[in-house]
Amino acid sequence: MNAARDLVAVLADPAQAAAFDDPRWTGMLCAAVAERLAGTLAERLAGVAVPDTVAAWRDNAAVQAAQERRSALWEAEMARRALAPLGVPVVLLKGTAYVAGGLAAGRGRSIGDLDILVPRAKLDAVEAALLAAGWEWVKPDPYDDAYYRQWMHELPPLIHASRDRMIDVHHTILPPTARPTPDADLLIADSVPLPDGLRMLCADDRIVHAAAHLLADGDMAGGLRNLWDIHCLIGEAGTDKLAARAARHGLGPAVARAGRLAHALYGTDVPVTWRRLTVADRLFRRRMLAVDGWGRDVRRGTRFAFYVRSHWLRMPPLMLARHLWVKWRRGKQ
Amino acid sequence: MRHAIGLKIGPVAFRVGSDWAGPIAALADLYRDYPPPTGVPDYTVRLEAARPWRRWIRPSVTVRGDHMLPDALPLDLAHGVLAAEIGMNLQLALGERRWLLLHASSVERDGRALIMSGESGSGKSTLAAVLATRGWRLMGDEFALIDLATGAARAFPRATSLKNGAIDEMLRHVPDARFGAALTGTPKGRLRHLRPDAQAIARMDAPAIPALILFPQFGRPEAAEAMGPAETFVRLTQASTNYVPLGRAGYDALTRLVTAVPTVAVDYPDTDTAVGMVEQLWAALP
Amino acid sequence: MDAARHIADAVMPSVMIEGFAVVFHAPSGMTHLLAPPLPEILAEIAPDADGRGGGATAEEIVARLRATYELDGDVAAVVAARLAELHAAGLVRAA
Repeated sequence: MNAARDLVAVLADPAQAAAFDDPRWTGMLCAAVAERLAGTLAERLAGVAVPDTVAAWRDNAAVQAAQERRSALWEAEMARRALAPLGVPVVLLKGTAYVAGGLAAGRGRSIGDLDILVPRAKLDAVEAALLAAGWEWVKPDPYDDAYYRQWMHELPPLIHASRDRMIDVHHTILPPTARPTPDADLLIADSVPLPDGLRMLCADDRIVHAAAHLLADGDMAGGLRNLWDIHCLIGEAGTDKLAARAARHGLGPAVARAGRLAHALYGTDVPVTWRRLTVADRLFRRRMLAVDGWGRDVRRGTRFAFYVRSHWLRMPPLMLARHLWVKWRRGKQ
Repeated sequence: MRHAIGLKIGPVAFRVGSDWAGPIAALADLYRDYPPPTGVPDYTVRLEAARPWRRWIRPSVTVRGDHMLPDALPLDLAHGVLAAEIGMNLQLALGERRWLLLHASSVERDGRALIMSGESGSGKSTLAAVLATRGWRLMGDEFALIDLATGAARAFPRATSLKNGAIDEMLRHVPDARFGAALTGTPKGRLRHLRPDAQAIARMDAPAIPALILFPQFGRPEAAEAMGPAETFVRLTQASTNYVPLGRAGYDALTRLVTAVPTVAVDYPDTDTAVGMVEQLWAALP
Repeated sequence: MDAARHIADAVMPSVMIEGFAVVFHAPSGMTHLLAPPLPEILAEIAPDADGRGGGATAEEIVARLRATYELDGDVAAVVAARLAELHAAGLVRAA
């Protein structure tokens, strides 16, 4: 009995839970909450015969997910209203996009901040419009600010004063200092319109972004959820021209790895070449399955290795040294 | 986790795990008369050592679980049962979507509920505990649960958390044996938990129709003033941890509650006076 | 006054409590307590129950309010200020 493996198996095939006893249900539900997959699991269990106490948990999680969905869509709408006068393409990213676009990946999804992608040339105008509409800077530190503006792929974080929700404004999907360099202009040029005037990435780019986010831009916290997104996105759009598109953005290996992991964990229908895990893949899988039946992260050693890796990917080693030195020096004062 | 207990309080089932035996033993004692939960818990709470050595060296308890506050300060192991209470409060406050939660104590008589809303220090918990010794059924000291469809109040009769002078007050009304261990030096001072009586436990699944809402304030000269429904509405949204996330269902439940149930702001110098005022106001209800 | 048109969202559940309109705005999930003339302004610019119509310039709103209610004071200034509040609250947007 392994809560993480149970979670993955039941998400892929809810019928697998039919034989679970109460302790096994308990561990899996707790792992789902820890992985921010409670709403997703509740969605997968909708209409499935489950014990009464599981049904109560499920109904609670479903209401929570509905609220997060409403909040996410409202944030997008308020951003739309603030930016509409600029006539700039505003591309929704990640969870908000899945929900706004009615995608399978959006069903039951837990959504945090609003992420949008705009042309780099319009960043100043976008920043000004958001500030005028009630958003404020989160971090007042000038060093962090300079770091963000020069090296990161997004504005420093903004939070809305009265709604208390954050917005991340990106101009590309990975830091310019990172190794793969996606084509930001292409992401925006090929984006697709949503009914209200906002936009989202085209189907292949959504998968490319999700893979980049999963593997190249983080320490894998939330990996199971991100991989579930990829599983749903591939399930809906297929992989017809995906590899070529990924290569176009310099993210071929990341997308291939994401495809292999999705197949291994969720049984995603992928090309034959993605149906076997490499040795390195297995380390990622191990990291992703690190939650236990009490919601704890039990693979602390692996986690540290991934944290170092994520910073190394964002910044070349010389810059990393300078960044850490300045941070350390400020900490000493 | 090494030590664990399951608790069911009213309609809510918790699983509490701990790196130490002490807090679990304390919970087992406080909740010894409660029917054990069956099935899968609604929430998980973890009492953890933040670092491995913190299990033994100046042991401190970090409260974690399904829902967590990122900046929560750890507590002394001696106050472990308080950490468990905080953990359970957090799960309910941040996670509950089946009922409208009000920061209020509540008691029941003849199938109708008296709801007393107030912050810490208002005296709502002590007042509820005293009323429970005068023929009222204790429904809860901290959270009132309002059914979204029917507007009925559900009981959440956890062990009542009494602080400082309130402990001495309650010892005048109930025997020492009903209390848990005395904790000193907690962030809120002296603390003891009072176990609800047999009636409160036996009938914890029986709902009641809200009939009167009070906003009590301890330590002032006796005074009672009717509060209009608009002010009541605003105050209760502030007293609710989940009004906003509940959306339309919360709005319907709360507008119904404040338009159907009268509200009175009650100032009182001592609990005996308060009890008298409650009985008068209750008798005057239609 | 400028020619910008303002439109409110369609019918919002509203309960009158002691002269306030306690309104639930579904898209944002927020509850608002609105004192006159806010509910009246919203009523003038909301679409009908089928989602048709609605929307008006500030000048039109002032004219419609004058036609329906007894008003004194600087109505235009009051309407302008209240519209700004309604925009900030998300209850009204540019049409």
